[in-house]
Amino acid sequence: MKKIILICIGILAGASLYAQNPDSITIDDYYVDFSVPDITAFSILDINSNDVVRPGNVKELAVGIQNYVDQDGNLKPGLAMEIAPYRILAKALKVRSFWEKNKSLKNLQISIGTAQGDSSNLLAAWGINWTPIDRTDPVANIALQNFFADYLANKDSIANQMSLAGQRNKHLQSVNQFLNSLTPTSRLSSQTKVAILQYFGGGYRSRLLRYDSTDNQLYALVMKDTVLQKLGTFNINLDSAQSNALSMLIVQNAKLTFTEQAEEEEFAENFSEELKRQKKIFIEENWNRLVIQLKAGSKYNSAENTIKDLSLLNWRIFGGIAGRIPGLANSNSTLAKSSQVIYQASYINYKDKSMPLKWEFSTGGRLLLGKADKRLSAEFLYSQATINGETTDKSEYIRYTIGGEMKINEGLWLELAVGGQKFLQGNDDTRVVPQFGLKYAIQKKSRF
Amino acid sequence: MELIRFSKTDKPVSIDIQVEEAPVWSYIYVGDLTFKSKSSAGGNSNHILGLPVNLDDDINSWDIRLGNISTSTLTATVTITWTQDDKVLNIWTRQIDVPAEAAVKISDDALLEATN
Repeated sequence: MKKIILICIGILAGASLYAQNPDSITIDDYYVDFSVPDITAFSILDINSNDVVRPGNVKELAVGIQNYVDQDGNLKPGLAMEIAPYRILAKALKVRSFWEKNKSLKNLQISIGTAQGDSSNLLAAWGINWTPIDRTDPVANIALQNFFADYLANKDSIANQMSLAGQRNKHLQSVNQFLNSLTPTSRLSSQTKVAILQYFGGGYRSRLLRYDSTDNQLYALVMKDTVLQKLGTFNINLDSAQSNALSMLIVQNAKLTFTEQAEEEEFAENFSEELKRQKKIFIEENWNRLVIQLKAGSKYNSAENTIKDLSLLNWRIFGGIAGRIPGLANSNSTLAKSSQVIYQASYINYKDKSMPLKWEFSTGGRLLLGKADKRLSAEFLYSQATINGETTDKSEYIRYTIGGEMKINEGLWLELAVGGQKFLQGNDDTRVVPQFGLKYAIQKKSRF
Repeated sequence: MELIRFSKTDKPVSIDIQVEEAPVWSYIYVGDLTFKSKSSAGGNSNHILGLPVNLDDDINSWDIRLGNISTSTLTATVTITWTQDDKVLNIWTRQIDVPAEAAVKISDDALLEATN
């Protein structure tokens, strides 16, 4: 794939010899930006997203809001909150079944924010971000979840091998029998037995912390002292035979604990490695699956810093759908696995008369060929906007780009492209100007 | 270590194991009988331990494994409820953080006692 991208760049470099006036027009003018826009209250208000509060329950939500909105409707700047309704409401029993039936609502996110305006005014914004379908997400994939549930379960179901819980249970039964033997005429009280048994059972980590995590013999010594001390509080003194029996049980416990530690640490490491491997495979095989995203948001101004005084400045909506070429959803062909089509549309309406535009609509599509992390792209965009003021003029143009992109790490892409623009209406020259300005950019982009 | 007390009647003792906020899990519960379940199997979580006469002075042990396949820590809650004849005998609940792309195990045991 890298060779193909480099060859294409070479061809386009040759075409640049015939470009018109290369210095006055740059590729930035023509490059179609097909990243998924960030429509959150924070991006609308330009708030630092590191300061965003994400309440985990209704109480935290109420407390978070009341710091910035009082009961009289007065607003203060500084509110930056991202609400995931699922996270807040899922624990309520009455709504749990609702979320199970409507799992697509789980990733619905609502953002709200307030910020100081240029003078004494206050700005407010809200944003909604919803991805009802995302078949490229390995975390949401049921088959992958089931794979790892089986992986976990298999650890406790190895043929011809007693599980660690089974080994611990057998050991504790031996300890219980030992305790019963200390008072043959009447059983020790259950509280007394629990008080002693707890030193032998539970999670291996807590035993290692309690006794010694580095040495088998030290572990046994510390454990025996601890258990004898506890027996002493119940006035239970051991004869030499009983003391020897206790020592044997403690040696068994130490062996069990250190064996479990070694096995569990290895298992945890293997789990993480296998998970990363399976996720990589999943993403490589499913990068071009169906995703639908919907976003909306708006910005307000309040001269008097109250809810009643809020006036709308602009609102915007975005919708995008990406997936395999229609008809190839279930195909195993090379084309099906290595291509993706994207369609998206965006509309912004400006209520603020000081803005140059009244509204702006853009729509377009991409065809990608390649893999999850590197691909060629062909893109087309149509845009129309009306200009503010006493004019009926519109701006209308199309843009097209051919290029490539390579993922550097999560969210960071290297982009290379060449493209052109044609104005259908507007006061700019109508032209088709293929420019090779070799636009390259390394930037964080949210993409399908 | 839990202490589970139940009546010496002919009503069996049952357990119900629930895992919340972790889509990937499995457990093993060991007593007179061994019960296993996992999230991929539809999560059958209700098990009958047995009759009081057979359960008295028994030790039960359990390991619950939780997996997190996402890239952020999740907090899961695990609850075991022991019941007899619809009466709740004991509830054991733990909240545990599961780091990103990792698995953890939580273990504990119980002594069962039949009372008059």
